[in-house]
Amino acid sequence: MDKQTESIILIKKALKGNQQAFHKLYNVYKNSLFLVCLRYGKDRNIAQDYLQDAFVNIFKNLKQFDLNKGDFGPWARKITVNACLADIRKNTLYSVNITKAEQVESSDVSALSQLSLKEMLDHIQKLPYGYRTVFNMYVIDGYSHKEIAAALNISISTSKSQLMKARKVLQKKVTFKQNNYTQEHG
Amino acid sequence: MDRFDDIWKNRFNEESLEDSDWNTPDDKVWEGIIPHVVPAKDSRPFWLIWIFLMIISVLLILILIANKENQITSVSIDSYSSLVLDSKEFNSRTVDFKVISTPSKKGINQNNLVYTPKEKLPINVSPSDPFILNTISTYLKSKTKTFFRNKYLTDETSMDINYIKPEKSISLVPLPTENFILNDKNENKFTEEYPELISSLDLFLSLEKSALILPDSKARKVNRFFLGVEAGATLWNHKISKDYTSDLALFDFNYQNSWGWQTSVSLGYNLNQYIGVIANFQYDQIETTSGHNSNLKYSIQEEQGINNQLNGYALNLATPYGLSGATFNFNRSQTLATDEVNLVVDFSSRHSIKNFSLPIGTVIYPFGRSKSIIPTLSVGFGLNYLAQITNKIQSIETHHDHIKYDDSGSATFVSPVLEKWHFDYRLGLGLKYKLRKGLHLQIKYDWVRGVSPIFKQNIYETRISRHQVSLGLTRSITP
Repeated sequence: MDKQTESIILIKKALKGNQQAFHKLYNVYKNSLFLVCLRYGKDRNIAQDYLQDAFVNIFKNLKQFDLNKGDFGPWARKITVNACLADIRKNTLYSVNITKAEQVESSDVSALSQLSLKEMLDHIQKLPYGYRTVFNMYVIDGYSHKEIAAALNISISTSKSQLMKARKVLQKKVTFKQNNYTQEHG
Repeated sequence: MDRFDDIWKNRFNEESLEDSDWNTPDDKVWEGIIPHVVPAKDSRPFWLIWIFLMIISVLLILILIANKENQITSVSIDSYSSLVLDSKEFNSRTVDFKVISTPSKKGINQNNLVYTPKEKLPINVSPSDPFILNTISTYLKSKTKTFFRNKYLTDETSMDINYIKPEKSISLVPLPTENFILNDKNENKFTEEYPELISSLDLFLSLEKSALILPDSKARKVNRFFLGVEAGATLWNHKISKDYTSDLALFDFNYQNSWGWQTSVSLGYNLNQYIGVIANFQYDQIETTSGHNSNLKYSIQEEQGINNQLNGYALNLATPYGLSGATFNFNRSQTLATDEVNLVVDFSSRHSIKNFSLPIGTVIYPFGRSKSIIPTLSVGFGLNYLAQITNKIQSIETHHDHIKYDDSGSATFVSPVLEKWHFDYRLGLGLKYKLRKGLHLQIKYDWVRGVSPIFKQNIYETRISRHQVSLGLTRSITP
């Protein structure tokens, strides 16, 4: 049984109030959605809070999921991103100081290809929250700058500048790591 | 940057993800979800169904009543009479009627009912109007007309007069009339010269559960439509979901329920003496404030220029209408000891709201509409359009001597996730005072409960309940 079929069966059972179905649904998707939360949160604890909020929202809105149309995975992922953003927005410490965008030089991406997923995640998590949020939304989750600006209540130019800075920081980190690796291994 | 971005995107969107400790959440996450897994009973559909059923039931009852009132049975004309009533309690009234019956019922001696008026006058009232019937009974009971009282009237008969049973044999219908003033001076004249009228009245009053029917609705000159205008105060009570307020409690989120004003025009139709339907067009305008506390960092490195000691911020302000993005500047007036200062900032925002409503419902007159003071009950539901919410930063307190809010720029900001259309149900209590015929002064209280939110964002939402007090005028009209 593929993941999508299994999900539909579990959703139908869950909608009838079957608590085991909720738990199974959670187990099927917890790791993939946790990865989303890890990207948006700066550490594991925050990511777990995001994940909890996300699953609460998913289960509360389960009736709204159209079993005939959509794939449950992307739908759940979208709710998860929204849960992360809601928490980021709610945390009004989030403020973006408006600064000018900086140009980012292109670089060799071979070093990046050699990183493990965990290493890439570590780099993202170490970004400042503004950079991290915009980078995640634009590069990985496919939001446009217009959508990001609306979601975070910032200007489009601010979104672009945050992305530029995020890329620049990540490139530096990856290149630095690659240089260290080269030096250590001759 | 395409290649760079693609690598990140592809790696984090790979379907196959190996389970490891770092990408597996702790068991406590599920434990935190469990309390929310038990499907909570959503009371909204129940309420909506309940309201829907209530409205349908009321409409069905109104239709039945209206149809029953207009039902006409087959009748034959036997006689007709008229009577002018004069009492201290009511103005002089002319009651024009004829007694008609189906020939086969109750062995009525039709010969005793013949009466021919000397001249015909215009119809001016309907005897089926409960007001007139009440007038008849009240007058006859209150006056020293022992003839009538002893012979014809008891409390029971006065009730019979008001009891409408169309299927019964006797009907009372309006007719051209002649004036006759019934008072102490001409009582003898009345009884002597108009024995047929007495007979008719005798028959009418003595028949239990007599039927009162208007065979020709065109003959009725009753103003059933009415127009109203009213204005008053309204209190918007923000019902903010607990999830929202609890999540924002960390930031000392606060808000006020505020008074505003409202005005409306209404058009109604009275189906009978006790029930009518009414539609309003209402406009509300209120102002409220909200505030919260946030920690912000002022950095000299981020200032906009050497001679421009400003830091610009984009921040989500907590409001009853969701987290709303605002921009503002802080101005540094003196040199600081450090390059960065952490500020604890209090924000206060003012929200101006304009809302249109289209409520429809029924108005009930528990004691009828014939008195000078008419109590009213109303029930209905409303369609609302949230025309505008204007948010404005009212004040920002930085609690710092040299860093202050620079209010020279725009202070307005937008609430992003408003539900323009929202619905409510409403209950009302009122009193109408008759100023003159067809014109009433009305004072009214309405309780309005929102059944759909004006703001909804995931599990956060805000609904509105309203308390309205209004004063107005209603006037009967003839379309």
